[in-house]
Amino acid sequence: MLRFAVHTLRLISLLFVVVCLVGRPIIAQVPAPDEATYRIAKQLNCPTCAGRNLADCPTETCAQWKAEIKAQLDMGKSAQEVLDYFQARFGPTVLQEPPKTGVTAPLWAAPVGAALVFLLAAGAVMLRAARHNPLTDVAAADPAEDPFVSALEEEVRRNG
Amino acid sequence: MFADLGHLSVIFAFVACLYAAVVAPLGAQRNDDRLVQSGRIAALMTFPLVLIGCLGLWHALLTHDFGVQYVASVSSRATPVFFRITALWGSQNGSLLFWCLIMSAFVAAAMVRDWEDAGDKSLLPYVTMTMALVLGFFLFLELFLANAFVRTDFPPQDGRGLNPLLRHPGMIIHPPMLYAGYTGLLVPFAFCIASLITRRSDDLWLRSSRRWTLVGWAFLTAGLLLGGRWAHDVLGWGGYWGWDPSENKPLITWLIATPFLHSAMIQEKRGMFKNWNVFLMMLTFASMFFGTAFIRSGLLTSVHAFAASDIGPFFMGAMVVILTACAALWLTRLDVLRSENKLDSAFSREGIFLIQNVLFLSTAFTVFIGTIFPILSEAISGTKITVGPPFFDQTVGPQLAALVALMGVAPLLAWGKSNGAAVGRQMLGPLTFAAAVMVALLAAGATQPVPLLLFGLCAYTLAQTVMEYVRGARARMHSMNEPAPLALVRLAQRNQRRYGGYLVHLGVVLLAIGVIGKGFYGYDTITTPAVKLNESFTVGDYTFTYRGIRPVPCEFNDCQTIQAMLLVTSAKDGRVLGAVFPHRDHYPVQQHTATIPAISGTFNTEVYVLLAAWEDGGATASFQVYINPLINWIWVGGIVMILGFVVCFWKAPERETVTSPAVAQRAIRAGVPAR
Repeated sequence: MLRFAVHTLRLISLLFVVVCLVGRPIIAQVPAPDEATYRIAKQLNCPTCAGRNLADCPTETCAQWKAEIKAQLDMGKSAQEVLDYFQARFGPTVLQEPPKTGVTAPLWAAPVGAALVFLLAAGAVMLRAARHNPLTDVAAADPAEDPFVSALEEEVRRNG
Repeated sequence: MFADLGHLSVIFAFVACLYAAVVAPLGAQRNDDRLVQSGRIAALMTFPLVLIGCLGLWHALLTHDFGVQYVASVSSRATPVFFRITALWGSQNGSLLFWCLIMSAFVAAAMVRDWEDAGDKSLLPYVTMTMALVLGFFLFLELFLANAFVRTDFPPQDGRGLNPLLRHPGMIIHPPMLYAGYTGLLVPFAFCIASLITRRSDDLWLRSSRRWTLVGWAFLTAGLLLGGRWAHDVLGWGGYWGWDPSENKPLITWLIATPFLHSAMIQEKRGMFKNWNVFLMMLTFASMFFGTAFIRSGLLTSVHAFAASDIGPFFMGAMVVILTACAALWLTRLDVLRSENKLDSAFSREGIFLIQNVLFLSTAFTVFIGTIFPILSEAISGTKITVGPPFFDQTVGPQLAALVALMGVAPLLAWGKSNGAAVGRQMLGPLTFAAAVMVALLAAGATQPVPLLLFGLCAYTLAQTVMEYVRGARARMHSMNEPAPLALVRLAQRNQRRYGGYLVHLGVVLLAIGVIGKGFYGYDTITTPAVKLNESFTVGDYTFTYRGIRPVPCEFNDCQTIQAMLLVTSAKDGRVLGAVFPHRDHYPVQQHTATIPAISGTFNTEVYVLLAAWEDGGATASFQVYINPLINWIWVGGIVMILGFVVCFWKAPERETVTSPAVAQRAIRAGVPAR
């Protein structure tokens, strides 16, 4: 009995494969996700389209992922739960937006740190300058605002 | 036959590079001008030699010489002539050859132009040497590791055809532009190195470098924008920028070359920041080299790294050698590069340029870290962590906004020291304009605070930049009695760099408006459930009625196209606006499906429709619709930026001298140093 069932299943799957191969239209038809699935897919990376999110990737592997999302949504899971599921299964690499905690925390900290350090360094240079040359009264006209003056200034520099 | 001739010619070019790299500096050491000239001519000759190489490969492509492996891999009998020509840069080996061609063109141009223009020729032997070494390295890669001329004993009947993604007009000029941007930056780098070798402390190198950097910068800008346009038209993701490694790489170089163009001014005007400029120039070159290495070695996967292979180790080795040599050279010359002036005040043009410079660098660093994080994480923790667009949007966005703000302040500040009250007065008008714009936007229903503030910021900077022209033109109208349009033209003519630069700023602001519009107000949706035949759906102001799908002849003859037909009517009054035809192209040989959008809508709101799927022969179909507000401002901004470059670069007629005594008096009162 069991053996019969296994055989039938094998036969069916074989048939399925044959149908898939033979009955393939000129362009593979991929079922479209619904809006809710689409929203979630937008937040996931696609395993087969490098650099693109799941929703924008037309491959069949991605179609399976979208089907998985839909199945989970149909089971009553919330969007966040679906995302959590994918993260638990594939790690943070599956998310379009890397989490701000965990392994990817340094990634988020780096730009902020760099900007701060760079700006502080620039600030230190300027502070030192300000200390060396206390602000004196500034000349009345501003050479930067008069193109003639800056032209002249350049001329003086060139010939001087 | 011709391909083999080309191969031979490229070998000669490689030898010429080696010869030039040895002979030119030798001639300088021995004070033998004949040797130097010989080196110069050898470097000059690399261009025609590599060109012959390219012509050889083009000949093979055009005559279907599938005995050449490269030809078989990027073209087929079905490939149209046009794409057989562009197939030269369709894959790694050929594109490396093409890269060498453009680089040698720059080498030759520098050898002609700078040699004839320069009064002081002391840098040129070392410029020749540096450029010949770098070009030689790339020719070495081409000849020994990624040879496009390799033949096979068993030529196939037909080739594989060109990568379908590369069949777009944008791809005709996008790669050449980017290559020109990159390789153009070799020239200023060579001048920098030559200046260090000869222990020069003046700004001789900068005078040549600035102009060449501007050329490289303009090509990079154009290349980036065309790349964005191509992605928008072909990749079917609705956007223009995906923070893909091969987009990030030129962006990083752009983000380093741009502050260099600014800080070079400080050295010219004030004799300061000499070390900094050397550092920036070296960093620009390193980013170019590093980025090329990363993409070409296939370390980073990318949607369009068409050109990956195993030349990585050589790149990395060369990178280490170059960085060590640069650092050693620079560190031994630190004393020569001492500043002639001190920073007088933080509240000055120099001060704000310094802030601008570090902000640009931290932005470049941010893009860099996000791009290489997948590799870093793989090296450290063993898993490759993908970094998607949200990271870049959130980290790079604020820094770019700060740079837009600086653009609205920097032009007001004077060299040396600035008058706070005067600056405040000049800010008043544009600030009022910005406030008015924000109120108008609020009234129109734009209530999200962040984009509202950002639009306000753009309005301020836009007004301030326009005011620069107004103030300058007004001054001319008063003193020279010129009518407004003439005054404006003369103003730009008399100070091309300055007013061309402001035009670039204007372009950047327009581009920023587009980025903000698309980023904050853009949205996309997928039709759920699938649309039945003759059924309608509405997105934004547009109603689409599905009229079925049909197979149509493909644009190229190695693909199959399924096209959907949609009638577009106005959602408000039901007026028929036209029809759109999004389609899918399937390429059986390459096993690739391209989802090609149909683009419609108005200038300010683009509607971008994709055929997502269909069932039962088109009885139902699904569509992805992107609404992209203001995205067209990006392209307009880009064009304005390039125009700004043209104004900067255009050779102007002789300058008129300042004759008005009043002007001279004012200048003296302003305290212009007479040195």
